[in-house]
Amino acid sequence: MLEPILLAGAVFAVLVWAALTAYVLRIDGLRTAARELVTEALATLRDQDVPWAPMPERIARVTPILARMSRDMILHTAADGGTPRASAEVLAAYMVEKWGTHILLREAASHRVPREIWRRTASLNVVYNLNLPPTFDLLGRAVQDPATGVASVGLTLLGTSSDPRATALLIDALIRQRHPASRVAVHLEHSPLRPVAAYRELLTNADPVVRFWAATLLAGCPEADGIEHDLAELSDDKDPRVRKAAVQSLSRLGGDVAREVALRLLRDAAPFVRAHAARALGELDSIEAAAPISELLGDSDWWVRNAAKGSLEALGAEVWPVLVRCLEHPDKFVRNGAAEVFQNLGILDSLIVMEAASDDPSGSKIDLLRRIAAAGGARMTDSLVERAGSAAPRVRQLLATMGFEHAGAA
Amino acid sequence: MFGVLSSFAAFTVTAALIYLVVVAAASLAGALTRGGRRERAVDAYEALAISRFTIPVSIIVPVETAGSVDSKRVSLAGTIQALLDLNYPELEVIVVADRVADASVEELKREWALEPKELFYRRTLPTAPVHRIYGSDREPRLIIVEKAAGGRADALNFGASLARYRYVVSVTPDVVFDRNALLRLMAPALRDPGTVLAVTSYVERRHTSALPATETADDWTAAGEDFQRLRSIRSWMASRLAWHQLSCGVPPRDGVSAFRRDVVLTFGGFSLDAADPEFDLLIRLQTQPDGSTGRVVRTSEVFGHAGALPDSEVAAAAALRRRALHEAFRALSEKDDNGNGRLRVLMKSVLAVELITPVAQVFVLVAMLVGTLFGALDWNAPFLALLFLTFGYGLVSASGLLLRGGTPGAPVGKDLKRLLLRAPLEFLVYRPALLWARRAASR
Repeated sequence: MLEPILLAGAVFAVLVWAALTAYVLRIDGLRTAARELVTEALATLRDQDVPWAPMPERIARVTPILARMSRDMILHTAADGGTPRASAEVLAAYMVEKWGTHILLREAASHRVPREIWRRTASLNVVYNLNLPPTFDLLGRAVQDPATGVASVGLTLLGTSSDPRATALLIDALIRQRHPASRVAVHLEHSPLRPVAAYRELLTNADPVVRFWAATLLAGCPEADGIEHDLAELSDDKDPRVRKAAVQSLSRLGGDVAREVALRLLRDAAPFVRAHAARALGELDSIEAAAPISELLGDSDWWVRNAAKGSLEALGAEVWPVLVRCLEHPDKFVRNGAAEVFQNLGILDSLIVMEAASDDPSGSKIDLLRRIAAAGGARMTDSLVERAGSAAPRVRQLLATMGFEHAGAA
Repeated sequence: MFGVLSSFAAFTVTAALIYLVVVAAASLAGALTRGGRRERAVDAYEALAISRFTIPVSIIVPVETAGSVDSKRVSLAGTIQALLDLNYPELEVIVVADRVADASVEELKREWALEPKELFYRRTLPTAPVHRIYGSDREPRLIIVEKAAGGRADALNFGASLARYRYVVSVTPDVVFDRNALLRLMAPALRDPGTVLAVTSYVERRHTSALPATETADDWTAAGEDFQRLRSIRSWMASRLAWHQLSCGVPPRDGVSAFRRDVVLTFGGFSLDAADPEFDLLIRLQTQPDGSTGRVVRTSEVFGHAGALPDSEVAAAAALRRRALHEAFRALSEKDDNGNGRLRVLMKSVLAVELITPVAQVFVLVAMLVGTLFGALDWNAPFLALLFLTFGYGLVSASGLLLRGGTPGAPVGKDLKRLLLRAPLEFLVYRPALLWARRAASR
């Protein structure tokens, strides 16, 4: 009974394999031919005199090649980011000349099934480059479309436009949040326009996510008058994300208001706000804030401790008097953190190498070294010896005299 | 009695054959309906690549044991340089090396002027003891950690503990990729950072043109490389079709995944007992209890490619994959009902298909041989079964090539022709060769 089934199955498998193999090779052949045509068309458009010729002439030069290509292929090439802008314009103009704008506009307006998304986004690109009258209506629909791919292309195109309608649509998308606000903000950030008034208006929006992004985006508008005061007001917002955005943007703008806000937010209830306040003070080069920042070395939250370390490092070697006080702190985290900052600033290495080279090491410096080494622990002294390179024996000897006999022994 | 046994055997063999036909038909139908489609929207990465709002990523490079970085095949220094050159606004690279004296790690330290530094970090996940952490003033984005051997999961857990950024990505040193690879991988997470827990992408095994041809001719010449590429493409197809139909699935054999760091920590990190810790976590994330927010996304994008492996390593990797599938299936079967019921059933089905298919193939062949030996079947039955399986295998591989066609890096021209013609030989020649290699390695 099995033999007939096997025979039929085997013959069927061989035939279907052969047919599929032939089909795949045929598809590959068609693709190769299409690619060659695209290459030929683009090469023709790059020919010496063609780029400077009037549009009708450019179209005429490339028409014999384009006539052998499918509309989909021309559309895809015209919308491809790798196609030079001048060549894409010719391809788009050819499409309009041959098929009119109505097909392009229809395809850019909607898609029925996911497999048509590429055609819609490609058409949107072409319509945008041709600057046809319904462009912004179509882009407005695209950014509100549930399909992520469509919205993404809509946002990208709006983000490159210097037309005020584009930023209005982007801000509308930010408010509606049909797609993540962060995605919209990326394109607002790179827009050639800076809609400061619109951002300011958003600072009072009921939605904290919108206030957050408005505060964040205002950092890119340093030329606008008085925005630091608007942002300072937001530092009292009830939503911690907004307070974080306010202090982050203020740190980019700089100034006394930024310093005051950041210092105040070092005691914020939300850990990530404290962390960003600490980082902001580092970026603002606020040396006088080193002491309050150092208090965060013992914060209950690890991210805050890390931010405090990073901020102290950013402030540079001038923070050492504050760090010395931390070495005696009852909290081990504070001592560890201070020792790590000493190490990362290079103070520890300079001190130990100098004292190890000296025949008469200074008592106060030896004492400081002892305190840093004790706060950093055995692994820190081991690393120190390894970093010392050729000076390692003397450094090890010095550490031994300070009571760290096993330093670098590993 | 013999008659009953014979009928039962005939029934099971027929059932196995029908099952294999259904699997092949599903692959063919999936490839025909989705193959050659232009799925990628014409979307630009330029804005994301330079935006300060693009979520930063910590890349973990585990270097497990001495010799795991085969300098003939890959250059660890080259991989690190390529990672640091990625077109991505903010990232850090954490190399977690299990062995202190690995030459490639030493070379890396010299090249980047790395110095030992003591860092106080939160030991969120328990790991093997750390020997030393190295940092560089020249490249502050690079950290090398030397720790006691603890396996890949341990290295990933340490990397996740040390990572500063919201997403962690693990990249093995043998993967070759272009500058936009990370942007492609992270695109779904950047589009929807609130709900995307993990993203998985695909790495294709194939001949790397960077190597001289003679280097790849060790044990199976170019045919072995072609067969590995076909396996790789089939695995990608299975993953892609399953994910498309069921919105869940298993990652392809080789891939690069990005995980949200907080989720890794919440799930207790990468499992030290799992055969493939990333595979295990991806399955756990997809079958979390009802009401959990978040999803795992499988991108259609190719992250990069990796060179072909010697047969013994291919066989070992296949065994590891089987173990990972078994573990996942067992874990899902044992799990109590607080998991997501529908997803659990779907995931078990996907795992079952991957596990059952090779067993069904071998069963049909062995049953035919036994039936012939006992005189229950004609002598030509095993040959017909072999012919059926050989071309059935070739058919599934051809479906994979159809689906792969039109996507970047797909085989074309002579490459494609060779792969298509060699596809049926995989079952007949390469699988026995792998079995042989595995036996030789275990002796």
